[in-house]
Amino acid sequence: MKKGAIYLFKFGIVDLNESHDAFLWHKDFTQNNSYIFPRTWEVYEKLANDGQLICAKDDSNCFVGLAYFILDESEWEVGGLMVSNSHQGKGIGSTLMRVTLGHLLFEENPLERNEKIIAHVHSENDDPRRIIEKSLKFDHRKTIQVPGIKLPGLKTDKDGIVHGDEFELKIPDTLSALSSWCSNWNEKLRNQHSAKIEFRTGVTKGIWASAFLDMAKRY
Amino acid sequence: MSCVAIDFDKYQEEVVNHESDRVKVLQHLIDLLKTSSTEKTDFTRVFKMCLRVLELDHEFLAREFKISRPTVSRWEAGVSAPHQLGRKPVYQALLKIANAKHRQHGA
Repeated sequence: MKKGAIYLFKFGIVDLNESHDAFLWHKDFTQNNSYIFPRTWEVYEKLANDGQLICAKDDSNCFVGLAYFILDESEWEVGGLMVSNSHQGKGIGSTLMRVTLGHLLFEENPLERNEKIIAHVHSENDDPRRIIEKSLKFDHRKTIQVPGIKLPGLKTDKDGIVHGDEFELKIPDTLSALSSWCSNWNEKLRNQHSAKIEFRTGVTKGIWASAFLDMAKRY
Repeated sequence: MSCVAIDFDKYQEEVVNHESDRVKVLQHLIDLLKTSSTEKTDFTRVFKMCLRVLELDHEFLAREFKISRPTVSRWEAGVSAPHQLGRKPVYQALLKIANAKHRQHGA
């Protein structure tokens, strides 16, 4: 980075034209990380084409992180968090998860219909676990054991079992924490690089903050 | 193939009437967007009406509003709606589109 350059990270929905690039980035990431389930092109393309992939990009418009939200039967899942090795430790993962969750809460308002929001984490994957528990204030719901054959690519124990945990959005803790973050975030990452969220027209982080506070009181 | 004789003058009159009706429908939609409440039932009705009158497809709206396509479908079907604080900005964005179409047809 040049001295004095403005280093801007952007957080927002993956553009439909970039679904293949996002998949290649996901594929490359999962090849070197056995804690994230490697999705097929068909699944990832659908996520991207449906606008359910949220990304973090650097000022060269390159992906530095990805996450998704998806409706699975009657529960929403946020997850698939990946941050490139060269950008870890800057707070990109926690911002990306907050943006993903914030987008879901604000645009779908699932709590109004008593729909649960959950997250799954591999038992040895500490980085997203910390974000989900500490930053998003999700509650641990249960431990999960799945035969590795059903989740090829994920790390198993000696018996071929994948161990993981399921977390659930906690009311009002998650909502209050998210609202407070929206109110206080100075649009900087941990390393003081500037960052911005690409909201839809007319929406601001102040509006998000008020909405999450309202949800915390209402539900 | 049989030929159908078209009365050009009559057709032109129909087009003019159609355009005039279209302008009226757009004006009513603009009034609706300016005055509707942000209650969920109203939001669903207004959103649905906008898709129809403004001839907007889901992909366009998903891109324009930076939301997912399934979200557009759920808003349209009344399954979900954005949080109440997010509804006015939707009306405002749709109003912009409606005004542009109104200008285009009214010119």
